[in-house]
Amino acid sequence: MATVPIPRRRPIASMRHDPSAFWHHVDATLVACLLGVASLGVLMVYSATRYIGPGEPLNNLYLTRQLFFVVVGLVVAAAVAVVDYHKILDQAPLIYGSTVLLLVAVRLVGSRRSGTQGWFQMGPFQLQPSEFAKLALVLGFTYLATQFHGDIDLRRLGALLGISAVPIVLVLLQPDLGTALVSVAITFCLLVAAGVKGRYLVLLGVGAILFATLVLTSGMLDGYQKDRLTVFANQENERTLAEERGDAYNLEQSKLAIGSGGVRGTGLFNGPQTRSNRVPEQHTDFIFTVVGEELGLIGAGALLAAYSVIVWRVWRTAQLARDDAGTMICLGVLAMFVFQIFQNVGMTMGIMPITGIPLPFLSYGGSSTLMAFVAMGLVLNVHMRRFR
Amino acid sequence: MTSANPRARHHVLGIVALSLFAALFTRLWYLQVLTTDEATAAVDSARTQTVIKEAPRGRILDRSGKVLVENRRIIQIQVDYQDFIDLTGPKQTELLRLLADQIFQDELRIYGGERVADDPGPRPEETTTTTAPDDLTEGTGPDGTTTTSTTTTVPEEDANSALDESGATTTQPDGPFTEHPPPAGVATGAQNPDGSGKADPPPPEPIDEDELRSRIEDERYSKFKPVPVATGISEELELYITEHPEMFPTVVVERVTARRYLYGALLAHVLGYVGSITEDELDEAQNPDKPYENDDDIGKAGIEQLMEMELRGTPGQEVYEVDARNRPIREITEQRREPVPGRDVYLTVDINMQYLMEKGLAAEIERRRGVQDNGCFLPGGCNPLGAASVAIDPRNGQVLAMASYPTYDPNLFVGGISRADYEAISADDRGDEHNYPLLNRAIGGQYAPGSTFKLFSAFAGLANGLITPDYVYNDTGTYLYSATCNTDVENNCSARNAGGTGNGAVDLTAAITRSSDTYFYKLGDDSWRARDRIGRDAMQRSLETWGLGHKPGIDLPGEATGRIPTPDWLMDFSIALNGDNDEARVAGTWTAGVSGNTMVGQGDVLVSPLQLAQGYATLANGGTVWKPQLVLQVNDYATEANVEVTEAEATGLVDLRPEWREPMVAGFDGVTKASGGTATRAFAGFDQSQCPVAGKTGTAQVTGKNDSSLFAAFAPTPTEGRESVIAMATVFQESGFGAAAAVPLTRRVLEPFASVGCDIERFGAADSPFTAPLGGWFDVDDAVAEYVPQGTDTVL
Repeated sequence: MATVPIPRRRPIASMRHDPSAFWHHVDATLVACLLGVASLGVLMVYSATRYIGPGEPLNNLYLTRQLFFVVVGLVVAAAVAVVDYHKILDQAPLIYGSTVLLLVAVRLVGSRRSGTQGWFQMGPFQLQPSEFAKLALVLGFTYLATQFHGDIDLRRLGALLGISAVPIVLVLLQPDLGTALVSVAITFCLLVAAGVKGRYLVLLGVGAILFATLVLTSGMLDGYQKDRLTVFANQENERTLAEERGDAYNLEQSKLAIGSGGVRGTGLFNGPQTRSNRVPEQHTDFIFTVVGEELGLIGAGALLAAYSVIVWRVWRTAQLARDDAGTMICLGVLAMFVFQIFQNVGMTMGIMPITGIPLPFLSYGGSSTLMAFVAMGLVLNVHMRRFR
Repeated sequence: MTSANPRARHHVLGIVALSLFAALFTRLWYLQVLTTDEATAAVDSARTQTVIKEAPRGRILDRSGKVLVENRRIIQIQVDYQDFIDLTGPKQTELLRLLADQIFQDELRIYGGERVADDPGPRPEETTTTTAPDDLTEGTGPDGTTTTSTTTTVPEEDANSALDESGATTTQPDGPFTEHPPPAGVATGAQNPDGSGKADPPPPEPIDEDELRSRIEDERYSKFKPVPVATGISEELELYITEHPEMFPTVVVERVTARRYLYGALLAHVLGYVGSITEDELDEAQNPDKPYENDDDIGKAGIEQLMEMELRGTPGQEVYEVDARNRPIREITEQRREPVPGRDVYLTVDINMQYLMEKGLAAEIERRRGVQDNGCFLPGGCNPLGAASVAIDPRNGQVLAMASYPTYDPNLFVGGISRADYEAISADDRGDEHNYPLLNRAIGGQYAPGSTFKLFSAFAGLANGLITPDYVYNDTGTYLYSATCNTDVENNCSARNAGGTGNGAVDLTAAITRSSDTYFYKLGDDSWRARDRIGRDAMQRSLETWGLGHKPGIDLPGEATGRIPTPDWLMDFSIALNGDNDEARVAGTWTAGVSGNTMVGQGDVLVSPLQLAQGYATLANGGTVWKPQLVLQVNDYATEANVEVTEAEATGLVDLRPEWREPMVAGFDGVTKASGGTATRAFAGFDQSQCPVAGKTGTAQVTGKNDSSLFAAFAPTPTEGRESVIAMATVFQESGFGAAAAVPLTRRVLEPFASVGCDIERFGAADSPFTAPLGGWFDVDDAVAEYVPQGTDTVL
């Protein structure tokens, strides 16, 4: 495929004079959308966390931290974008391997919160390896799939499935169902992109559905996980007091927040649901409710539009990519974004089960923000180097 | 990527992504456009908490501005019934045992004077009433929003100034009866149900678990709010219980606003009382202007009930936006409403005169009790069951005093009356022993008026042309209805004067003064004989304009209509009583004798004391029947703002010609001073130079019962350009002749009144020599000794 040698080093002095230099091909639209969404995220996180209690000063801890994460994310994304993605892909086995090790380690010595053992406590911050596992999966899969050059028999398919299965199983063990589901979505999308035969895909799809049914009906999942998965389907049922305090309450408050925003929203920092901390986990998984309540249909619609533009630019980059590796990286990232956005936003509006996955660029959290920026850095990387 | 068309696959992926976003947009549209109203409403109701600020109830004052009823705060122990029944049996027993012990110890110490139960100041930590409603108990308001309530205390300065106004310089008594035994005729509950006046306050009864349990399960209280089990506890016990919540689970101590009846039992029947609102009352009285919560108080009787809408304050509210843990974030100030205190009701009553009247009723009852004379001929002598007196202003119908014996202490109702106390003062199966203290005899009792009815008889005779003022009748002591009367057939062949002696030749004036019965027997006989010419019930019809037989229309429930018997009524009554048979028809046949009996106020005639007073007031003022009024004016709380004065209202006009009225008035005037006047001896020594008293005694005779004693009076006599300012009627059940009890009572009220020139303003002024003491307390023995009438037993 790629036969034209890639120029490796250029003198710094001539950079700005070379019209074919890769930084002349940055996808400005994508960058603008990223910056816009990430800024909105910082604001929304602040709105969700500023009120602590009556008479207490406003809390700006989360504001500064999220701002810090975004800045770090931008720097890391730039760094990722600058290094040729082939070089990064060359390191895929290392990245993949160390991520798997991290996943094993977190299962053994990680911190535990609300039934999930998925964090390393690092001072005030928490490192969440499962976030990076999604990206490691993309890279590892791409690394392997590009070796096959689209010619995938059953053995190779098994290898690809295996490379996906390892992090997915490890994440499931934490258990972090949401991330595992994202990873499954990524895998499926990558299988499609890698050129796996249609009948295999159909078989895999059917198998996945059967497996999911089996898992749900067997005792493998904790009761609370099952409740979370099924609560969205039982919204009209009479709520018991226990449910009131659990996910049903969470979902109810979430839908009320979004619904009460109406078309124009209640105004920034002015949402009753947000201001009164009525929506649990609002700054992380339920951050979309802040947008919905305070900025209304206009703000939430604009946010979804911005996401659509991002996804479109990623998809377009996949088309423009110089090689299969670039295409697959972009499609993996695309699958990750689309699934996370749909799952997260859908969850807050009651059309998807409640699973704890963050909304990229918007939810508070260092690992997820960083991961989203790194993913976008990769896409930019592919975009900048689209010309053969 | 040779096995499939990669472009097509990418497009599929793109379309999948696109459709997922479309789904999100659709759902967002649904939530934020189609169903946004429901969400907004749900958020609004959940995000706010309304704190109801109870407004002080208006005060009740007398006509001179003395405060009769105000508010105070008391401490109450309440038990949350729902939580209580969730406790295990042994825990319940243990709790009740501890609580009963503490309450009893507290009562003992209050009794011993170690602790004080009344009127605690604000709690130290309660600096303002606008503190955050964190610790408030929640209830659910009628609109489903969460509500809490606090009480706004009466501004201290208002309460003080009101007291200064009334001239009370002494400190407030703890309660009307903490220092003294109750006066005679004041039922103070289970300890003294019949108001004998003999009960010293006994030491408190020990309280045990069963007693507490029965209080908790008392079905008069809703089980969905804390049930009061002890009221008026000391601050020390309050502190003890609140500091030991582990010992007293489900128990709360609340400071509640309660009414304080400053004059104890005085005017109890007029003032009424307040109590917890019942569900029925809540449904009925609920209104948007002054909405009720389900733990509010409401007026249950008397002025408290009738003036509820004026007395009740307008509750205020503070609306807070609260967070998920119901902690207030901020107050929504635009929804804030300040509580507006209820309005002050000024009564037409003068409390000083009321005091004299109630003290007099008790004194005369006790003086007459057991006395054996011509009026009380039954073995055992007089057995006064009750008495009533009412004084009104003939110029406008304002009630100056209204008393009924026995009475009760409305303070009993404060904070919830105990079952035993309520049964003791309200049960209707205790008959004579008990005498229904809750009954307001002054308006609700109806009695045979005896000779006091002669006012009406005389008017009816004059109006029908049967007599003239100048007509002279020779009173021999006996009136023979018919010379040919067959005593075997007719039982009323003749009738004698009460007392039996003749009065000689009497004209109308003398007949009234000396209470000549035969004069009126003849009038009755004549009217019946003339029935073909003037009509069978001509006499009764001429009394209609006086308002007899109808409710006088005072602003109190329970008015009696009285009864003026007519021939038709008698027949209907007899048939209804005995069945439609010949015997009943004979008994129901109106005869000259019945007519004569009616003319002297015996037989089937019934009037209420208020009707009687109203009648004499009508005579005194020249013919206007004024509707009796109790409310003088209504003001905004503790101010002179928004004064609404009640206008006098005439309900009838009697064609009382001067040529009739003057001799009648002269006759009544003679009753208290002329030789042969039936009350002359009882009025001996009464200085009538300034304010002469006119009146009429009455002795109602019922077969097999002691006589009832009546007196109707008005003063000053409206002659020589004077205008009567008071008309008063008094009834003593089974207490002897009119001059035996009712006249002395009238003198006990009117003599002090006359000494200030019959000037009600001076009588009620701060420097009045007849100031009613706070608490309304008096010693009956002293009161009896104050005035002993002379030689009343031989005169009617």
